[in-house]
Amino acid sequence: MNAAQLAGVTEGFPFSRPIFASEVFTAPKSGWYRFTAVGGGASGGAVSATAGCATGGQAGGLAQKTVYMQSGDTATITIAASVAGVSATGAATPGTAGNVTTIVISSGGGLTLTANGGAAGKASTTTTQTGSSSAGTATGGDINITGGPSGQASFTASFGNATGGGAPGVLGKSFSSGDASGNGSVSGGAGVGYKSADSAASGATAGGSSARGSSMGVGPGLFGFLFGDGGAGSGSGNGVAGGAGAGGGSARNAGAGVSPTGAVGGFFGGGGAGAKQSAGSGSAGGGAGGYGAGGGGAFCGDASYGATSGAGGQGVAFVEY
Amino acid sequence: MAFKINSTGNIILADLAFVTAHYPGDFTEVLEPQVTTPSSRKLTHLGFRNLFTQAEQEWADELEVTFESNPAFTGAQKKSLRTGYKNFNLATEVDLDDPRIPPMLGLYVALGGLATNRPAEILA
Repeated sequence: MNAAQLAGVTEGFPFSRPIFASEVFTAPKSGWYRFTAVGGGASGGAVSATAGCATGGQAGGLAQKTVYMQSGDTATITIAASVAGVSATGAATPGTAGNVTTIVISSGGGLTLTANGGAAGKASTTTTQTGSSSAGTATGGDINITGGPSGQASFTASFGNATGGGAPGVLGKSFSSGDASGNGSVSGGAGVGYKSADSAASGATAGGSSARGSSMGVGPGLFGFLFGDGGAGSGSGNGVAGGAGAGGGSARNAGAGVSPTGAVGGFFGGGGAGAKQSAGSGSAGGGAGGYGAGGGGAFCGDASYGATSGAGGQGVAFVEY
Repeated sequence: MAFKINSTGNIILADLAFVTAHYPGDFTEVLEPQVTTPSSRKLTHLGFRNLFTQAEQEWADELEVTFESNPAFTGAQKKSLRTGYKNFNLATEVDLDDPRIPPMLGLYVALGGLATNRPAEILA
């Protein structure tokens, strides 16, 4: 997906532009402008042990504001950088919280949109971990949507469970990844239109969820390209990447000498979780989140080998006029 | 480029001109985080052999064909060597992070085929 594909005609706003790096936007004419800020996604947790659980990262918040600007008025747009996945060998390592995207508009006496970064994924070798929605909030907008959390990763003795990353609310509502409660199960990343499936059965490997299906409260024209299907999960290899707006598939493998890796989420889609259940050589990895989305959690069932969670996606902003 | 805003800890994507104008004296450039993936250090058999010197290779090869009939080895040492060689010869590749490798190298040290510092060098 590139900028040209994003720049579709929107409702009442003929022009739209995605902004991937910080800049000062100057209004080219007097009129109404709509700004959207998306915070950065968090990275997932990582566990390397005989048993444990790791959750994916929460998605960043979304704030959207329509304002009247005079020609020459400015908006200072600061874009959140992505956060790297974390690694663990013989340990449980929580993820890294997402960064913040802000838009400071000079018009109307000064307005500030703040889209906070998502809460870090959790990791434990002893207890169930619930996906956090304590961060990833948004303020200052006409619409403020907290980023989707990750699903809960249940602790099951002698197994490892991991969940995918959450997705931001670009279609008006944010979604979480599915829970992983079955013995040694993993879930895929959330899409912008659906929560990804729960993995309740032993060894379940849910795929990522797709892009369509939610209410369309926020700019369907702007995000009209988000039609991707969720990536499939895999019980023997790596997950499949999600399409635009869709979550990445999860991956699980029980053999030695394998390194299952959850897949990356498509544009705004959460990353899938990855888990290697048995002892022996091989590592495990979570998939990276798309823009504003959380990375997947990772579990490696041999404390001598590593688990690396998926990175949290960078923030992004849009201006329409 | 990525910069950390020191006063808030937030990391943003921006160019130098932007942060200089908006966060004067309050930023530090950071390496952009990379998407990290688990990596393994797998080598072919020949690649693994090449980590050893010529003399060390010749010593190990000689050991493989003589240890069974060598009365100087204990039963436990022979058992470890037998299994180690069998695993090595059946494997399609050698993972330097395989936990079975350090004990085998330690046994080589105990038998005088490797200097004490060599296992760490080989696995580095």
